[in-house]
Amino acid sequence: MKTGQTLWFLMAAAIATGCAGGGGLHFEREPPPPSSAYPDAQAVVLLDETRIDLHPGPKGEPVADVTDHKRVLLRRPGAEALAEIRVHYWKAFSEVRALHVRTTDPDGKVRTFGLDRAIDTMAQSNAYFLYNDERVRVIHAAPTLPGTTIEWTATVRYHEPRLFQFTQLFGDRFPVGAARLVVTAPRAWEVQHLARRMGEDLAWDPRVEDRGGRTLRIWEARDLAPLTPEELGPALAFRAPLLRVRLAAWAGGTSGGDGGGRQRVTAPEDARGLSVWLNDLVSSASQPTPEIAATAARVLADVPNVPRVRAQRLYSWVRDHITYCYINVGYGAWRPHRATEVLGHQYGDCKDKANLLKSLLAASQIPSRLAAIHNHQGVPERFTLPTVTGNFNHMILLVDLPGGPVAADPTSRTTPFGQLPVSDQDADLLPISPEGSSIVRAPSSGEADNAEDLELELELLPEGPAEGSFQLSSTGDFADRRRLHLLEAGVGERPRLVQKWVAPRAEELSLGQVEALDPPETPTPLRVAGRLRMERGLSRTGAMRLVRLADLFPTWVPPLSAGPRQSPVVLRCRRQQHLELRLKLGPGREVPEVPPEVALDTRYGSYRLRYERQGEALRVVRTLTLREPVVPPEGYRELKQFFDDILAAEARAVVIEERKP
Amino acid sequence: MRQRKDMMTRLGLGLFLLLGAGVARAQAPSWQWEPADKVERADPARYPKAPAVVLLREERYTYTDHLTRLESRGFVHDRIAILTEAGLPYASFRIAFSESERLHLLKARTLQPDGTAQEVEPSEVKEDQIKLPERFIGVGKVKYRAFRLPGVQVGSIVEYAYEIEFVGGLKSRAADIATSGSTDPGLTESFIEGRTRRVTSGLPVARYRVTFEADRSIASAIKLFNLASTPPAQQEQKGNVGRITLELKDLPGDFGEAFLPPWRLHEPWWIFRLISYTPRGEQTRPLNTSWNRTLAGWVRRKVALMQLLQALGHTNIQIFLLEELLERAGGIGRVDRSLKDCQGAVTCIAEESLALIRTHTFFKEFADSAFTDSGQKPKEILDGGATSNEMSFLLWLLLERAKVDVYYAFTSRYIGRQIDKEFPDTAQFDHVLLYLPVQEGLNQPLWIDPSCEYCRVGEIPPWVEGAEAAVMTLVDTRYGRKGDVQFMPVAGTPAQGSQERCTYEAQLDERGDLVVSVNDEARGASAMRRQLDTRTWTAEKRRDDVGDFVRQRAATARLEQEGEMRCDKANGKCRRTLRFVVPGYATRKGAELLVPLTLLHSPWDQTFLDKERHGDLFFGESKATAEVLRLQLPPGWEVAEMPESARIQSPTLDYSLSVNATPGTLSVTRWLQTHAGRFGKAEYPSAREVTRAFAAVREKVLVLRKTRAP
Repeated sequence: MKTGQTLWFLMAAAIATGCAGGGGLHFEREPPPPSSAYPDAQAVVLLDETRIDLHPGPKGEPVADVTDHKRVLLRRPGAEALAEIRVHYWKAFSEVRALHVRTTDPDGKVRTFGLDRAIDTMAQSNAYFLYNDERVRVIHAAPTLPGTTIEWTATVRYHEPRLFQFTQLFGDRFPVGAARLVVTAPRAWEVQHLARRMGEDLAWDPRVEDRGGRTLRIWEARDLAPLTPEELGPALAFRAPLLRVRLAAWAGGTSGGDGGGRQRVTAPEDARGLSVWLNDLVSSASQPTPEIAATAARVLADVPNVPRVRAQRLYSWVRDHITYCYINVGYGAWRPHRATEVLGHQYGDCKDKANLLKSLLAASQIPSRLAAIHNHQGVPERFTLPTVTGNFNHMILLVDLPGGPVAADPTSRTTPFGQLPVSDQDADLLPISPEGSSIVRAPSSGEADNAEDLELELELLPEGPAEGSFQLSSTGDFADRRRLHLLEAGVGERPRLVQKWVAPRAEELSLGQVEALDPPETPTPLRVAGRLRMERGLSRTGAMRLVRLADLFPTWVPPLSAGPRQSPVVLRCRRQQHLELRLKLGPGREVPEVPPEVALDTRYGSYRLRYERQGEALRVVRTLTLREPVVPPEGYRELKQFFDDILAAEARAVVIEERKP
Repeated sequence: MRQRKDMMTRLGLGLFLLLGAGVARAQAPSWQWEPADKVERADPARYPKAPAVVLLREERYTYTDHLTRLESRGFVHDRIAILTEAGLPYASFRIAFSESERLHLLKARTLQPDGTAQEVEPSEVKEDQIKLPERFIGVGKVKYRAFRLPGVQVGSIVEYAYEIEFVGGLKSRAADIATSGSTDPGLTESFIEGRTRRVTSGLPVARYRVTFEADRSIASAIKLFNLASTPPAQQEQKGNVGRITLELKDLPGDFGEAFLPPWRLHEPWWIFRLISYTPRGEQTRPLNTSWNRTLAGWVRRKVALMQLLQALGHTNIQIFLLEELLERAGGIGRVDRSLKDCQGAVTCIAEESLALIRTHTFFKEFADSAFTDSGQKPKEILDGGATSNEMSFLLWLLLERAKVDVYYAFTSRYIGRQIDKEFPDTAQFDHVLLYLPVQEGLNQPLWIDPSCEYCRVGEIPPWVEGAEAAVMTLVDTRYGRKGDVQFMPVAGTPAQGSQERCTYEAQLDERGDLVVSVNDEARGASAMRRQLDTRTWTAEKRRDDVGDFVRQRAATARLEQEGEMRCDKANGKCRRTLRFVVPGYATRKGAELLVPLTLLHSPWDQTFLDKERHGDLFFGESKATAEVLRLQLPPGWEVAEMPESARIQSPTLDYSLSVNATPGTLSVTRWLQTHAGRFGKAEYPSAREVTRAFAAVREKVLVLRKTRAP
C-alpha cells in the first residue's frame, strides 16, 4: 500500500464524512427524488451534503468540523452497499465526534443507530499492509429492503486542517437529488477552492453569505444524472465535478469573534511552499550513517566510478532487497522511517525505499531528491490545491546525474533504472528540496518502450493438433508485469501463466529458456521460450480446418460498447505488439486462398494483419501500435471503429484444405 | 443469535461446572527457539506450486484446573519457508485477542539461508484495538498486535510463536480472527463456535504436531479426519497431567484443482472434545459422553421454548420472529384460518407454513455449522433473507405452533460424509433440517429442508440425498420432556434436478453474419444458486456479466438486447434472454459457408485440462449442462456436412452430442451430466475424456452449400 493511497483514502473520507457542527439528525425539505426520470435506478441519493466548519480551537489553533449528511432511498436490490456507512478518521489528526444513522422502512418503521453501535477498525488491509492509524467507524444499517430510506450524518473534527483538502463530489453512480458543499469560516480566514471535472478546471464560484462575522460559501447542484460506469473508464471521482477546498490562511493565537486581529498564519502558498514544508518533514530521515556508507561501499564494490552505473546498482539493490510493507502512523504518512532503520529491517514502504536509496546515493556522493507523485491507474491527476493530502499518494526519487535528473521508483519490484512504471508516468511530480520546487511532469514512455514480440513456429500434425515452439520477448510495461507474475509464481505454476500470455487455448505448454527473469539493472527484454501444442481453436470438418486468430491467440483490443461515451478510454500505456506465426501445413495440405491484408491507421494507433503462403506453410503477421494511453470521449467513436475493425479482421478465418489429388 | 447464545450458554454451563475445585498450577511460558543451525530447510522442488511451505506447525492446548477457575491456553508455533515472492506476505504477522484474554508469549524471527537469525524487537510490534460489531457480544474490544519480520526474502524462513490465555473455552473468538490473518471479523465468524482445526489452510505442511494437556480431573478425546492411515493419537499421563499428542507429516497443500471434495472431506482436520470432569472428592460429571448430552443444551432450549409457547397460548406469542412473520402474513387469524382448511393434514400444514415462509423471506446462505447463528434480528431475517438454520427455525416455530410433532435433525450437506456416532460432537454437523414423525394426520414420516425453496413437501434437495441425520426427538419423562437423539437416514423424493440450459436461436445470412437470440435458463439447485448470486448485483456487475457472456461466445459479437435475470424460486427456475449479432461468424468459401460451433460455450470447456490429477473428484449434485443451437440457414442453402451425433458415458460424467438437420434449419445439442458423489482420482481419465469430447464440439464446423437462388 503506497503512502499516497492513504491520502486518497483520507480524501475519500472527507467525501464520505462531511461536516456541520455535529448533533443529531435534522431534516430539511428537499425536492422529490428524480425517481421518475430514472425508473431503473437501484437507489436514489436524495441528499449528499458536506458542511465544513472552520473555526479556532480552544488554543486558537484552526479546527475543522466536517459533517457529512446523506440521505438515500433504496429502490431495488443491488444498492445494499449504501447501507454500510463508513466514516474515516485518522487517529493522529482527527476524531469522530458524532455519527447518527436513521433508517425508515417502507412501512414507516424508524430505526436509529449511533456511534456506540459502530465498529471501529483499521481503514484498510491487504497483503502488504501491516499497520495503519487511519481508521474507520462502520455501521451496517440493516435491513435493506427496497423502499428503505437511509439517512446519516457524521462529524469528524480535524485538528490540523491545514494538512488537508476537503472535498465534495457532485455526482454518484445513482441519481442525486441535491448535492451541496457549505464551508463556514471566520471572515478573516482565507479559504481556497478548486473545482475540476475530467481533468479540467471548472469556473465554479460559491454563493457567499456573511453571517455574524463568519463567511459562508455554498456550492450546490441538483438533479444530477447517474454516472454509469463505463468499460475502461476512469474512476467516478474523475468524471463528476469534484470540489476541493482548503484553509489557506488564518489568524493564530487566542482570541474570539471573527478570527481577526491576530497574527496571520498561512499554509503553503503553492507547490514550491509545499515542497519546502515536506522537506522540513523528511530531511532528517535520510542522513547517511556508517551503516549506510558501509552498505553502499559493499554494494558498489565492483562498480566503476561512473555515477549512472553506481546509481543504477544502488537502485537495483534497494528495489530487490527491501521488501514492500506499509506502516502508517501519524506524520509517518509523509515522513519516511530513518534510512538506517529501514536498512536494518529490510522492509519499508515507498517513502522508506526512496529515502534509503537517497541515503545510499548520498553516501556515494550522488545527489538526489525525494519527490511526491500521484501513482495513477492510467489517468494522471494534475496538481490541485497546495496541500499534502489530495495530490500525492506515492514517493519516488529524482537522481541528479551529470546528464540530468533521472526519476527512479525503487518501490517497483521489476522496473529497471531509467524507466518508470506506467502508473508513475506522465504524473505530476513535486521534487522535495530546501529551496522548494515547482511541479514537474514525470516522463512517459513511447510505443517502442513497451513492446511485445511473439514468434511461433508450429506444424499442423496429421492427427489434428498443431505443435511447435514459441518465443515471447517483452520490454517496458510488458516486461515489468510479466517478471512480477513469474517471480510470484512457483516454478510449477509458470507454464500456466505463460500460456495465458501466448496461447490461452493451448492444450499443453512447456517452458524452455527464460532469459533475464530477475529484474535487470538496465532495460533488458524478458525472453520466454518453450513449446506448445494446440488443438482447441482449430475448428475443422472433414478435410478442412479453419484458422482464426481470435480463437488461437489473445485479442489485443477489447470490444467496446456502442452508444455515447462520457469518459475517456484508459488504455494503460502506449505500446507495440507483434505476432508472427509460421504454420507448417504438413503434407497434402494447402491454403487455397488467403484473406486480403488488413491495414488500419488512425489517430490512436495502427494495425496490420497479413496472411501469406510460404511454400508449405502459412505465415501470419499481425502488429498493433497504440499511440495514446488515454483517448478522450470525443475520440471514442473512432477508437471503437478501429477496435471493431481489428476484431473483425481477427475473426476472419483462413481455410486449410487437404490438397485434391 | 438465539442459537449461538444457547451454545455459549451450554459451554458456559459446562465450564461453570468445572470451576468448583482444582489445583492451581502456574504456567509461565518458558519457550525457546530451536538453534538456527538445527532448523531444517525447505526443498523448493518438493513444492513446485506453493508460494510457501509450513515446515513445522506446533499447537498446544492446555486446561488447568485452578481452585476458582478453569484456565485454558493455546500455544501456536509456525515455521514457514518462503518459496516465491508470492509468499512474502507471510512476513507480516497479525494477531488479535479479546480484551479479557491475555497474550503470554509473542516471539518471531527470520532465519536467512546463511543461517543468521534476526528476532523482532518488542518495540517493533504495533498495538491497537478494534471494536467488533454487535454480533460478537461478549468479546468486547479486540486487542491487536502486528509486526513485520525483518529481512525476509525468497529463501528465508519466518518463525513465530505465541500463547494466549482464553476465556471460557478451548478457542477464543478473537484468536480465530488472528489465525485468519484478517481484521474483518465477518470473515471468520463461521469458525467461532467450533473446536476444530483445519490443519493445512492451503499451504503444504511438512510437519504438524498438536498436543492437548489437561489435569487428571478432565477426560478428553481427539478425532482426526481425512488421513488414509490415521496415526493413533499418543496418550500419556505425567503426574497430574494427561496428554494427547498427534503428529502428522507431509500434508499436501491446495492444488487448486476443480471439483475437489470440500475440505472437510479431504483435508486433515481434528475435533477435540471434553468427555468428563471429576472435581476433587466428587463424582465424575459427564460432559460429552453421549449424543444426548452433547446436544443437551439444544434440547433444553427447545423444551423451554416449547413450554413457553404452551404457557403463553397461541394468541400471545412473545417470539418476535414468529410474531413478525405472522403479522406480515396478515395476522394470526388469517394464518390460522388457512391452516384450519388443512383439517389436520400435516402435509397440508407443512405446505401452508412453507409457503408462508417463502412469501415473506428467502433463503440467503448455508450456515457453516448447524449451531451457528447469523445474529440477525427478526426483521432482518424477513427482509434480508434467512440462513439455512434460520429457515429451519422459522418452519419449526410455525409447525410447533400448529401442534405438529416436529424435530430438529442435524446432518452434513456433503455427500459421502459419515457421522462418527462414537464421537459425540456438534462439529460433525453443518446443516439442520426438520423431521416429522408419523402422527395423527401424517401416515409417513416426513423430512423437510426449508433451505430448498424449490422442494415440495416430501421432496429432498440434492445436498441431503443419502445423508444420515441425528434427529433430536423429545420424549416424556417423569421430569418433563427431554431430548433423545436417534440416527436416521434422510428419505424423500429427490427434488427437481439441477440444470443449466442455454438455447441459441441463430439466424445466419449469406455473408456469414449471425443474429443470435439466447434463452439462458437454470433449474433446480442451479436456479437457486443463480438467484442467490444475482439478487444483489449492481448494474455494473450485470453489465460485466452480460459482456463476458457474449465475448466468451464470440469476441466480435455486438450486444443488441439484454433482459434481466428473472427467477421463480418456488418452481426452481431462472431465466434471462439476450440478443447479439456476430458479423462474419461464418466463412464463405466459394459456394460453401463454413460455420464454426464456437458460439457454444460452457465452463466445462476449460475443465479437466490437466493430464494429471492429485485429488479425488467430487460432484455435490447430479447436474445437467445443455446447450442447444438452432440454426436457421440462409434461404437457398442446405447442410452439406455436419458432425455426427455421439454419446459417452462414464462413472462420473455422461456426454452426448445430437445433430439434426431439417430443410432450412439445423439443431445441435451438446449435453453433459454429472453424477453426484465422490470418486477416486482413478476415474479422472474417463472424466477428462468426457469433458474433452464435450469441449471438442466447439472445434467442429458445419458446411453449408448453396442449392438455389433464394
